[in-house]
Amino acid sequence: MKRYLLATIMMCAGAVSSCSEKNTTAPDLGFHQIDPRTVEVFIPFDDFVDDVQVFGGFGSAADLGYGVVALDFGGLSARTLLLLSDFPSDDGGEVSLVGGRVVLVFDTVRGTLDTPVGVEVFDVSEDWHTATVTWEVAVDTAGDRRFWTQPGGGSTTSLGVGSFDPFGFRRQDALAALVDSVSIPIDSAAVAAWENPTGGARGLLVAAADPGAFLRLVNMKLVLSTVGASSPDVVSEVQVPVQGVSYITDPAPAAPVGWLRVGGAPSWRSVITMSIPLSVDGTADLCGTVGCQVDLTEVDLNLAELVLTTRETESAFQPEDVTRMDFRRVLNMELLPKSPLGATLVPFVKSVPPELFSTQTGTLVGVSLTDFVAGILSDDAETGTVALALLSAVEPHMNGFASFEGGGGAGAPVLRLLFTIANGVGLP
Amino acid sequence: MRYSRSLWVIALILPSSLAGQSVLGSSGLGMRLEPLDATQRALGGVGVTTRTATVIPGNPVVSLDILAPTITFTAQPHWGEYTVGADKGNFRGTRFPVLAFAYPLGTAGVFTLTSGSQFDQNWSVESRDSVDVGGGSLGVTDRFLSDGSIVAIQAGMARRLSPTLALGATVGVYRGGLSRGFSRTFDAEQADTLSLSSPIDRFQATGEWTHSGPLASLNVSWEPSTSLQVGATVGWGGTIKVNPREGTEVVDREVSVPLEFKVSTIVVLSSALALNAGVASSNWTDLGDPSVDQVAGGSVLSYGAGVEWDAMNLWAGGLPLRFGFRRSKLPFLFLGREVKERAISAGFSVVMAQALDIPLAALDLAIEVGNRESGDFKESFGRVTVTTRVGGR
Repeated sequence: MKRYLLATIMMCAGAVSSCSEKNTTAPDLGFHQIDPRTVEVFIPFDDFVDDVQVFGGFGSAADLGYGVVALDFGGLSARTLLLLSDFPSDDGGEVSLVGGRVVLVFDTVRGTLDTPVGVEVFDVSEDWHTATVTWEVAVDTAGDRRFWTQPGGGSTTSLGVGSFDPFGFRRQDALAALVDSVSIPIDSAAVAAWENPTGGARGLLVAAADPGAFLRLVNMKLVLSTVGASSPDVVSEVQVPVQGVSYITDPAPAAPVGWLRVGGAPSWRSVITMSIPLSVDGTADLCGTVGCQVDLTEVDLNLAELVLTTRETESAFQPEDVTRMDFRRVLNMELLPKSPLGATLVPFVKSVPPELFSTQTGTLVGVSLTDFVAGILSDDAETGTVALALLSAVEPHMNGFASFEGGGGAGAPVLRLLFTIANGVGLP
Repeated sequence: MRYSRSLWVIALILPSSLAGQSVLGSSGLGMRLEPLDATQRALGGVGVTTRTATVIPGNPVVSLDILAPTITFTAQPHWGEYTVGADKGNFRGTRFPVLAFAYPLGTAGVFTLTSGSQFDQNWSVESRDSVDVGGGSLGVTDRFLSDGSIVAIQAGMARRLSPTLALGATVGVYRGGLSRGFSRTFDAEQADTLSLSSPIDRFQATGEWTHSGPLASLNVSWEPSTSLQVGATVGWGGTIKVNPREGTEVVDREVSVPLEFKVSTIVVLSSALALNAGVASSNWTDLGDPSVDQVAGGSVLSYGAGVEWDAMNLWAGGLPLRFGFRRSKLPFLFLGREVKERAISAGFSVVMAQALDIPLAALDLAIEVGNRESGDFKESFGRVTVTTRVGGR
């Protein structure tokens, strides 16, 4: 009995496990009465936007971890400041600095790469604060605001010049590797002038020497040559660590008036205060010729999307890379621009190519807010008025920024809603 | 105790609902599924008379010849294809129409506990369309999925009043669930602007219901001679209550299931040859709900016949071969048209173990091919029914 029962159970289990169900899937013969109707509605700027504010100053160029050097590149000049730490001391006269070199490593993908670019390294004699330094201001911390004695890095002394030419070798040999660095020697007199018996911090400034150039400085090191008193024939090299990197630009971008800005370094955010409508005019498909209002709290929202129109960014601040945009709720309007922000509202970060802000302006860019808007519509505690911050997913991400049309003209932001209305699912 | 444990083990491996039936069951309570085992399927029977001692839901009389506690389990893989106009499609699946247990009460009585299928609503429809989005056309796929079934759980007893007459009765409950859902999904392809790259959430609407209600049956079997057996069953379906689950729009319903009369006979023509014929009738009108009445099929008659030839032996016992046919009308209309089903069948039994000429373990198998049609909708199907009977102490 037992073995047959076991055999039965095994057979049943086998029968079940080998079942692969495939439903009868017939074409819709019209015997369910759902009658779904999907409707698209565009809500114009004036009907849902209460206010737009653009704030800058989030983060610092120092957060990028790289520098920028430019000279009159679309009107932009930029210089990179490097703060060096643990400068070697003379160790009581036992060690002498006899020379050195500055090694600059540039990005070989972005920037002015087709022609040699002259770069110059300067000694910076004034103090600055890496996180707050600008072209005009050296330090801008709480209770301490100091300007450069001369805009653009103060009083500086040239230490040497070099030329960055990534295709320098390849012009002679097609198979040669690209060059990604420049080594600029520093003579012994300049190094000797640096010599600091106590050690400490010093700074260097890197600038472009050729107009129209733009380079991204991805790495830099200062290598000093030293000689010990006990063995004057032996020259050793000591690398000086870099404590901080930042860059300063001229001009600084002016605050936008009438349009939206996202990104940059320091970064910009655009805050849109909007009132999500609770009802919209129905379409002829829904209402016939008499017209009607559609209660959005009763419909199934398939898509809520803020549709922005790209505009040309100032040439000095054209984004060099894809702008990854995020949308977050402003949690306390009264604390703007320092209000904390909520969690991201977009299902994935929106990537916008840089050409949409130069050669392809006027392109529509949609930012999906479906879940957020659906949540507002379904939550009785919500008033429908919310402030949303449009910002770069990483702040800062690059020197350039994205620009979008504001209200009051063609290309103003619109709210696109896509919803479906259907009869309820009943019994057959 | 051992049997209850075995039943529990088998119940564990059963799917939660029957599955994979025809779209023809999209109206009313769904497609009628008769809880018949492989011997009845092979003979075109209606589940009233049988030469093989087995357990059939709703009729404990057929279990009177069981001399040892017996479990039967029936699995039923099926497949088919439909055509409607130029459209064609296919389906397949497996259902488990019978799970039953019989316990002999002496030599003249039996107690049965059965679970048998009654109705199935597992089907779906799908269509393609487009909507205007962003000045362009965006494809959508609409899909309506119905997943549900109703089973009858019955306890029954039968007793032989005399060597020629036996009576039986069952009482039980309907239990079932129904989930119906519609979804519209939007194509992911991108139109001419970046703005359509945002994902479009699908639209979805669902409803869930439960079924419950009582049912009972009376059964009689009369054997005036060793070559003739006549049986009859009256099944009372009571009222099936269809109640929405929490969260579903309040649409409920009560459907009165009509009385069903079944009559069947077995004529033994020789020691090796027997003829089985049966008919079932019910009147599916005035079902208590206007929307169901609209699709009620009216007078429903099913009949079938078959022969059993038992002249060979295999393994531990005989090897009866069976052939039959069946004609049925389904209780509910499809798009306002009657639904008819016809099938021919063949099958056999293999006795794996027996004692005193009483099978203790056997495997019954039936193969049916047939078709269903309703107006322009035509469906051909194949169905294999496998029943395992295991008895003993």
